[in-house]
Amino acid sequence: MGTVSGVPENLFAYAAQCNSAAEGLRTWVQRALAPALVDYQSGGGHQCSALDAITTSQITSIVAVDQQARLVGQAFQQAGAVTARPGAKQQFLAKELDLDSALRALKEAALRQPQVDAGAALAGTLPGHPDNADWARISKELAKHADDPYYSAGFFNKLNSEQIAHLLGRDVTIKALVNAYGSGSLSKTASDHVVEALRWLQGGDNSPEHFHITAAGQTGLLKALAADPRAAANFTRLLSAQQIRDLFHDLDAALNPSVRPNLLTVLTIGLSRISDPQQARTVLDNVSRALFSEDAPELDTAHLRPLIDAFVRLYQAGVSQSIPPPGTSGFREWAKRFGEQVGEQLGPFLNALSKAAGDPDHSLLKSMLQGGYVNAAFMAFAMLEPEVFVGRVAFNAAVGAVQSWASSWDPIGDYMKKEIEDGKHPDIAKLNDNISQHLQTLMISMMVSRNLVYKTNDKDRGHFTDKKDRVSFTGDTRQDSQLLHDILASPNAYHVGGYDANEKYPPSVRDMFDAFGEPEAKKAVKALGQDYKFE
Amino acid sequence: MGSYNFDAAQILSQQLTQLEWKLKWLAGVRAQQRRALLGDETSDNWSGPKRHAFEQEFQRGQMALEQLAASAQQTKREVDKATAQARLQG
Repeated sequence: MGTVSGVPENLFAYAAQCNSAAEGLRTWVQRALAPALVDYQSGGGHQCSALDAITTSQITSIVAVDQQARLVGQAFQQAGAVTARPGAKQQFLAKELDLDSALRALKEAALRQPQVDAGAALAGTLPGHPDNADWARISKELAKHADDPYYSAGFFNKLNSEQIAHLLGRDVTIKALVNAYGSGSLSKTASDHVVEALRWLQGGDNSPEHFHITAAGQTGLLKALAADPRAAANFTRLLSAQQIRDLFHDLDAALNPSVRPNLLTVLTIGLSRISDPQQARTVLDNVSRALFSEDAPELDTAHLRPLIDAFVRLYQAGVSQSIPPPGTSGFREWAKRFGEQVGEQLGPFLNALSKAAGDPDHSLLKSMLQGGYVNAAFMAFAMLEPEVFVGRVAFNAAVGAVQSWASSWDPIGDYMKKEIEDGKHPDIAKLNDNISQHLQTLMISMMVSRNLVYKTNDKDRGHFTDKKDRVSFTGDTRQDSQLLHDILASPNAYHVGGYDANEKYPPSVRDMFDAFGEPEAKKAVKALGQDYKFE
Repeated sequence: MGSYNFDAAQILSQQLTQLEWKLKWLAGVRAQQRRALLGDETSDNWSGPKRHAFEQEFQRGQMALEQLAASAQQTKREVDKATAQARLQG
C-alpha cells in the first residue's frame, strides 16, 4: 500500500460543478421532457422508449460517480497530511490504507443520513421558548435514541448554545452528546455551541442573557468525553486556540476545582487518539498558544502546580503523536527534524515551568515527583503503533520493553530528588535534557520495532548492513527490556539502517541521539530565554 | 388510435433536440472540469487506486451520455417521421 495524493479543494469543486450541471438536467427532464412524452403518446403518437426514465437513472449514476470525488476529498482531509506548497492549493498526502478507512467511515455516515435527519427533526420540534414540559418531552425522546450516535449528531447539530446548556444537566443528554462526538458527524458549529455552553457555569458570570449549567453537568460532560477516546479526539480536534484559552481561564477553578484537570485529561486522551501527525501538531500548537504564549494570561505557581501532571501527560502525548514516522533512509535528517519539533513544542511549557518554579522549597518539583511523571512520559505509544509496518507482535513487544525499562530507571525522578536534597534551584534546562532522553528512548524503540536497528560489528562497520545483525523485539518483556538497556548503554555499538538506505555510512544510535539532541536543546533554550545554558 | 396531436409531436421533437444538446453539454462540462481540476490520472490533484477506479467509472458515464444523446436523436427522427406520415394520411 502506497502513498496517494489529493487536492481536496479541487475535488470539491469538481463534484460541485458536475453535480450542479447533472441536477439541472434531471430537473429539466422531469419538468419538460417527461410531460412532452406523455402528451405525445396520449395524443396519438407512437410508444417511444422511456427516455425520461433512462436519462434520470443515468444521471443518478453519474452524480454518484462525481460525488465520489467529494468524499475522497473529505477522506484526504481526515486521513492525510498537508504538504508545504506556498501559494498553492493545499495538497494532502495519505497512506492508501488510511484513506480507505476514512472513506469507509464517510460512506457509513452517508448511509446514516436518515438517522441524522430524524434527530434533526426532533430538534425542530423545540418551540421558541420551551417550558419544562418541552424539555422533559425532548429528553425522553432523545433517551430512546441516546445509543444512536447519528441520531444524536443530527439532533445536536440543530441546537444553539442556550438549548445545549439546558440539556447538559441530564445524564442521558450527556451520553447522547458524547456518542454524537464519537460518530464524527457532529458539526464544528455544534461543537462551538457545546464549548460556549460549558463556560456558562452557575455562580460564574451570572448573566441573565443565558442559562447556566451546574458544576456537576460540566464535570459530567468532561468525564464522559474522557471515557470515550474517539469522542475526546473529535472534541479536541474541533477546538481552536481561543476556545482552549477561554475554556481554561473561564472554567472557574474555585467553583469547580476538578474542571481544569478534567479538561486537560480530555485533551490528552483526544491527542493520543489523533493519528495524523499534522493534526496532532496543530492541537499541541493551539494548546501552547492558548496557555503559554506571551499574550496568554499568566498561570502562577499556585495555579500551575496542581496541573503539572496533567500538562506533562498532555505534552508527552502531543509530542509523540505529532512526529511523522521515519522512512527507510535519511535517518539523521529525520532525527534532526524530530528534535527541532520536540524542542519547539516543549519550549513554551518549559518556559512556563521555569517562571513558576522560583519558590525556595521546590514545591513545584515535589508536585511533579508525586505525579508519577515517568509513567506519564511513556503513556504515548503511537509512534510504536504502525501495525501496517511491523505487525502486532513487534508493537506489543516494543511497548512492553519500554514500560519495563521505564519502571526500572527514573532519571527525571532521580535528578529532581537530588536537586531538592541539595537545596538547589530547579534547573529547567536540565529537566528538558531529561525529557529529551526519554524521547530518544522512544525514538530508538520505534526504530527497533520497525526492524531498522542493527548490531554493529567490525566487519560491516561503515558499510551496508547484514540482515543477520538486525536486532528485534521478541515479545518477551524481560529480554526486550534488556535489549533496550544494551542499546542505550552502548549507543556506538548499534546503528540504524536498511538494505536500501541512501546514506553510505549508516548512523550509529549515538549519531541519532546527537542528531536529535542538539536541535531539540537549541529550540527549547530559545523558548527559555538567554539565561539558560546547557552544560 | 385517436387523432394525431401535431402540437404535442412538435413540442416533443423540440425537446428531444434539447435533450441531445443537454446530454452532450453535461458530458462536456464533466470533461472540462475533470481536465481543469483533477488533471491526468497521475496528477497531484488526485492520484492512486481510487483515482484509477474513478477514471473507469467516469469514462463509462461519458459513454452512456453519448449513447443517450444518440437515442434522443434517433427518437426525434422517429417522431418527425410519424408526424410526416400523419400529415400524409390526414
